[in-house]
Amino acid sequence: MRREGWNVWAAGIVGLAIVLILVPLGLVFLYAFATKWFASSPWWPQEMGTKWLLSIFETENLVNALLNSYLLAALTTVATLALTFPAAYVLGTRARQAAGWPGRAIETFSNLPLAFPTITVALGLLWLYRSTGLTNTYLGIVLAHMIMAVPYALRAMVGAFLMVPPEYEEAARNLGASRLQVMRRIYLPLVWRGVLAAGIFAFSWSLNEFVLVLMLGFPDVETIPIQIYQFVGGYYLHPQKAAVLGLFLLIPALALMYGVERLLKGASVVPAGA
Amino acid sequence: MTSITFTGIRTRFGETLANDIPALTIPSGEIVCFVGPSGCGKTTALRTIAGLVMQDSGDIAFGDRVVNDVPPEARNAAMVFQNYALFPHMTVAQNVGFGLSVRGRPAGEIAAKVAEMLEVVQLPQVGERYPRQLSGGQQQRIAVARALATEPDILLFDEPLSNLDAKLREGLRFELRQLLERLGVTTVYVTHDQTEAMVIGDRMLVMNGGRIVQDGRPAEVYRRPVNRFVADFLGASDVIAGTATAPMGERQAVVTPEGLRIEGLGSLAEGAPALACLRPSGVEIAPAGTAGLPAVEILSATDLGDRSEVLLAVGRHRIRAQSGARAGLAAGQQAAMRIDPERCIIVGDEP
Repeated sequence: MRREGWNVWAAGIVGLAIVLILVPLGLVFLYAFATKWFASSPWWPQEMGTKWLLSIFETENLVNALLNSYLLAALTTVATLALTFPAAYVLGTRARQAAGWPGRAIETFSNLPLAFPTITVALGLLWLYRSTGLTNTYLGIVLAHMIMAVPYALRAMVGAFLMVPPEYEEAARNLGASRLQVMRRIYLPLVWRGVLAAGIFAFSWSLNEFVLVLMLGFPDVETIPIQIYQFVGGYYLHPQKAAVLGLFLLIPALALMYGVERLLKGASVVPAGA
Repeated sequence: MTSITFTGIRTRFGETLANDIPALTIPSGEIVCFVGPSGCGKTTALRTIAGLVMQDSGDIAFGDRVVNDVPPEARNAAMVFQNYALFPHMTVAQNVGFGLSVRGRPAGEIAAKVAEMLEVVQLPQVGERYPRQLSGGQQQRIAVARALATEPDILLFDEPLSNLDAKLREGLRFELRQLLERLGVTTVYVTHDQTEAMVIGDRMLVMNGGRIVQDGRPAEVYRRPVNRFVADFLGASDVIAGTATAPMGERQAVVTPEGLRIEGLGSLAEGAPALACLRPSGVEIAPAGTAGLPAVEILSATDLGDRSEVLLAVGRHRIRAQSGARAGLAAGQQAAMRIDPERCIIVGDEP
């Protein structure tokens, strides 16, 4: 009896969570594809089609916003990984012998920016960018996005490197592998999941980010979230187009999440000697 | 195959002196065991040979060639790690072939060598498996095969059997000894297990506090430890302090302040403060009142099946002895003890 009681509760909670997540997302889908939806029948649109989807590609600044969003996300990802991979390698392998304060410093440093209010960071950067001419530039946005992406990526990758016992590198060197060969044949196969997780976070964070772009890039640099905002809160209201744009954020995010889930399921770092 | 020479090697880890080895030569083809308790510097010495630890001063030479600046990958001194360090993302065959593969050898040659090595360690069927699918003993053999596959000039072993259970360890010990004898490669073997060192090694180096405290053939080191530390390490269970008598040939005696006289192997000056180091196997029980033997009281007797472990009281000293099984000894009995002078070592009582 008691167990069944708990099962009902568990089902209720899970069901509520699913409803809370799926209903808004479902509404976005419906809005994006509804071409006729009268107020007299609020539950289902009368006509569905790809009109709004196609209309996006006919508007030059919307296409630009799409391209901007994906380009900025890609640049942020590449720059973040390029910066953090060598750092994570050093912190996770070389500095491990001297573990203690560097490890703790990284731990603290990597947590802090995730707790920063983005808008406060944006304010600080605004003054800084004005004096250096970085406002309204791709470089400025990429750097701003890296403030959040780098700590997370560093955390994920240092963790991945730390999972590799130092004996693997020693054994490989001992058997004749150069540092480069050790990187390619020992570390990369063992840490690539961490690298991928870091990259996916950087990409999706940059793709979804709104406040920094609004304050530092707008109006010259427009991205999908900015356009969505304008369609629902600006002078020209168009919730259907906003919903279609929303899909361009939602679908890559879902695909990446699915990818991460699958990767992490297969993840197993085997300790030395196991 | 090559000789190894340490000259003035000193290594510190912070405040700790890890190694201080002024001069040591390991001739080509010799199997040397470094033994000592944990933290004695034996592993540091091994890793210095491998190039995984850089000494603060002094030279390491292979043959005539000083290798201080040679990185580990160019030393051709293959090591078997304590935890084996098999690469988990590679199959057994890829692990064994790794050394040849990074040297850019053709695939056919690598495959042939891998097959040969798996044959040597008697695991020809496991090439396509992953390390985690093997037992500890099998992983250990694969680690040996991987080290041998590169045809190293020097083989290094860092406590390779310490992660295995006692029975397996005993079997592998002899197997490893046979393999090493057959190969004839200069071998440095680190262990904290003196029995293992005696089985494996041609030569035993006992280390303490980063220094080599005794260097000799294993049987000789076992029979004549140079000081209390080595005697303790090699199984002396009880140490009795007193004054040395005048040496007679190889032998002399220690006389305690209470007048107990213990004969053993030693060559200290007469009157020097001395320690008699006893092993249980060197102390026998005799009937109470046997002429010329000190009287003892039996405190406890434990039957271990093939023998009994007996704890004796002689005045204020407690001494462990061995006797045959079912000797009918019981706590509280009076007896006498006979110490085999060949198994009692007398060393100076240094601070």
